Amino acid sequence: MWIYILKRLLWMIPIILGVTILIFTIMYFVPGDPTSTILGASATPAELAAKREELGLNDPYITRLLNYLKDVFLHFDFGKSYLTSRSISLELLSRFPRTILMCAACIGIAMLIGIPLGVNAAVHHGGAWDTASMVLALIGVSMPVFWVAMLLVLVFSLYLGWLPSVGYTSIQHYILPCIANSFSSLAMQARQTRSSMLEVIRSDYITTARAKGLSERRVVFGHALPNALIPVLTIAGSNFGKMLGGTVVIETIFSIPGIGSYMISGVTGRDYPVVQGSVIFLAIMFGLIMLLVDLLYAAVDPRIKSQYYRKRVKG
Amino acid sequence: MSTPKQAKAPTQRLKKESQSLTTFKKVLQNKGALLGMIIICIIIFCAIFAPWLSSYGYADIDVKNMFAKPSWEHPFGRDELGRDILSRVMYGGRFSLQIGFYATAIALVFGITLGSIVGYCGGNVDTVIMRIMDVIQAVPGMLLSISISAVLGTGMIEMAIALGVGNIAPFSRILRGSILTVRKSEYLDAARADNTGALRMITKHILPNSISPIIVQATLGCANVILIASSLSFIGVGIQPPNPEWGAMLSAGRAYIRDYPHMLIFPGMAIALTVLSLNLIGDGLRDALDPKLKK
Amino acid sequence: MENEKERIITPFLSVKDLVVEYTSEGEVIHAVNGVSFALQRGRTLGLAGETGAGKTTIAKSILRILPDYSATIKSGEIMVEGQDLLKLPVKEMQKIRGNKIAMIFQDPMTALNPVLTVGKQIAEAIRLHYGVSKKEADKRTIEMLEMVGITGERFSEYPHQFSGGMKQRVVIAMALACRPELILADEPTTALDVTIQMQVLEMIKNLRNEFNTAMILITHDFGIVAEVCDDVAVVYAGEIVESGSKEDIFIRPSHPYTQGLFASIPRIDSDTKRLNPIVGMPPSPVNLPQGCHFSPRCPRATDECRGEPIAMKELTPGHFCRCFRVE
Repeated sequence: MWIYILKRLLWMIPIILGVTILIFTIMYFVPGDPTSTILGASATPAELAAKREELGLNDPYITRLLNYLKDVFLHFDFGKSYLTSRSISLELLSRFPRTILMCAACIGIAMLIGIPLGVNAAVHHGGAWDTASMVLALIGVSMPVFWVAMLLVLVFSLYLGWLPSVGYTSIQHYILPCIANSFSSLAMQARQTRSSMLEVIRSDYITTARAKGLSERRVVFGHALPNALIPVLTIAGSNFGKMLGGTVVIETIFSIPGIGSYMISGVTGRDYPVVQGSVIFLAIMFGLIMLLVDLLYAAVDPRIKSQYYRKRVKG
Repeated sequence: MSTPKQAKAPTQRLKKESQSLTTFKKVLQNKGALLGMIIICIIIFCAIFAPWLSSYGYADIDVKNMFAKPSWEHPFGRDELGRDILSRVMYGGRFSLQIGFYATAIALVFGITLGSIVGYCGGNVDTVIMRIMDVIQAVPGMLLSISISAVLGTGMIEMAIALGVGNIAPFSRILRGSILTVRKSEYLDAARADNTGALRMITKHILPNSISPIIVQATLGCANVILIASSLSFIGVGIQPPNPEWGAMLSAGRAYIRDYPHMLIFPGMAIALTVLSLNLIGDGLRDALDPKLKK
Repeated sequence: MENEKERIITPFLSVKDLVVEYTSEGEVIHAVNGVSFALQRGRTLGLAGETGAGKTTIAKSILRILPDYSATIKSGEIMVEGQDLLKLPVKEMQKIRGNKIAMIFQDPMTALNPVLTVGKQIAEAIRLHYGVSKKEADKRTIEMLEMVGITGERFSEYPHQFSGGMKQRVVIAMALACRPELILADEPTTALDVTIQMQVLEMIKNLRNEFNTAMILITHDFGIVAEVCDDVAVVYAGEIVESGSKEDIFIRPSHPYTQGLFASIPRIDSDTKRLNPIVGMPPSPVNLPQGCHFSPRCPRATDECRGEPIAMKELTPGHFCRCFRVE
């Protein structure tokens, strides 16, 4: 089992390194000279040149890349903001809990509602419930997350006055953002669970289970569902990636100070180290979540688990 | 000697025709896919013929009538500068559809080329390029597009590139997978015994194998691109005002949500309907082309 | 006295005029067309015939585990100890499945649930039907495993850790765990290596003898029929065309189809130069021929054969044949 974990970790490391190099390389080509942003309009050319030298902007690509990698991975230093000259790493760390908790809540909602919906649709295949929930799911997947958010604000905040639309201090402030962000993932999860269940329910071993006299409930939840969940888990991982993208938008709409809104402030302010740092940070977070999903996967599917135990001679 | 060859060609062509025709018929039978095709045709029609369909220009400012609620003359109402929202929504289709098309085209072309090279060469080339694909896919799509947009700036082609790059990987994998399957199967030995050339191999064996997943991926990928494109415009990275891009319109309308919600509803619905129709078509295609799926 | 006699004569299982249809893409598939047979306690009936003849459908109908999205039991009676299984509510049927009547499936590779241990899959049937504690069920499971030649330690292993033949033994153990009175064995050795086939067959025979279970053995291999069965019913295009004791069928095959089957088996003791298959193909179950379903391929067919459906004729006591052109 530990060998499997180690293998997955070893796989992750070059990917994370690769992601950092990729994003750094992309952002390397951003046009413009940041020194005037940092020092302001009144700086003299000499001061600008000195600043450029200080930031290492005249160094060749490789030097800058290696320095950045060293800073990020050895010192956890994502550099300083062009606008505020404050440490990006500190800012990321302070905003991180908010973002990760929201994402966790969103995934939770998506799975807790989406999976039962999908199972139900599959069990009542062809019925009214099946068609209705799948139509709703398709619509849900097609609605842009910011539109869903604004509609929710319109209804629940402005017309009904039940929930606040701006702010981040109490739990209530997080309800609408979490619903908005989980909407699309929920729909996707329902669809995926349904198609996975439909495929599993036609398997021979389900007929075997019925032939033993097990109740239909037992067959669906004890035999079919564990098998159907395996691909669903895989999809949950990539759903999380889409959710991270949605987080960026949601934090902006609801003015929640998380990593997403930090990134956007960097984009609009042309504060590129902030953008770079946020994207890399989130990508690393995504990578670690995928690693977690892989490990969960192994815990759930015995075929993978046993690959790494002492191999019994097949008799 | 010449007659047998002539006799072969027509029957081959006939077989291929009936296969794509039957698939098309199957897709049409799917009510959802049919609905999707109708919707997307309407949207494309409105986008192309917007200048003739709309009675107002999308940039016609009329400050005296700003924020007008929906009425007979202005079915979608007017925005913060008095412009007719219906016209703007129709013109806005041009942006989303074009970006979707170009981005998907870029992803297709590069993806297929890359996948073919990798499948053909194998070995180290395969490992390196596929690892690079893994790295690209490890960055969530939206984040990657934001980074690339930061470099390229706003504009239709720039956005198409920013969105297309993230979609190259799925296509390359499809091609690569198809080539590897053909390589491993006995197909190859039989074809070699038949003296088939490499080009023939590609057209007769590899392409038919991979065409269906490619079409499905292209349709669903396009839907996803349009969704992300509007999100990018919304946060200020993509197409910007005064261009009537749907995401940008929603961003502008956000400030007036309390008093003038009509500014929000229609552009958002346009995005949702476009993406929905593509999803419906993509689903229909996938069901029709998947031999395993039976009712 | 009268009741005693009746009990001896009344068969354990009695199937009457069973008709089963499948619907697929708008077409109706006539899988089983009026099948009737009876089985006494402790006897083994071989349902022999080609693939697609409807044998598996018959077996699955008895347990009512046909896929309900495509299959319908249109009519018929399946009497077991005085009860018509087709009229039972599902809850009652569930008490019988795995308990009084159990099934051994054809493909061991897909018959077991990959994410549950083999022990759990066997034990859950025991717990369900006997209501015993987990510990007791596990104990009996281990006993069952040992009976089929699998060491008890492999209780907590998963199906993929077993070879094909061992998997089939697990399936057999699972079927016999609750000491059923009737076993439906659907080509239990077809998917196995030839070398393993005999082993598994022997095991089935021994267990059947030990528990005195009635059995319906579905197979296309007459060699297996000869080894294991007491009675035989030959199935063609969803009908039984000939039935009787093993001796009746093997020594005096009467239906042209049965005769054709025996003639097509190459003999090891003679110098066979060419194979003797039956001419033609089995009919499509969507479009069955009028009258005798075998008539298109029958060397003795006349116009009378292609008219009305043919009824069963009793040639000798217990030996039935659905043909009036018997020589």
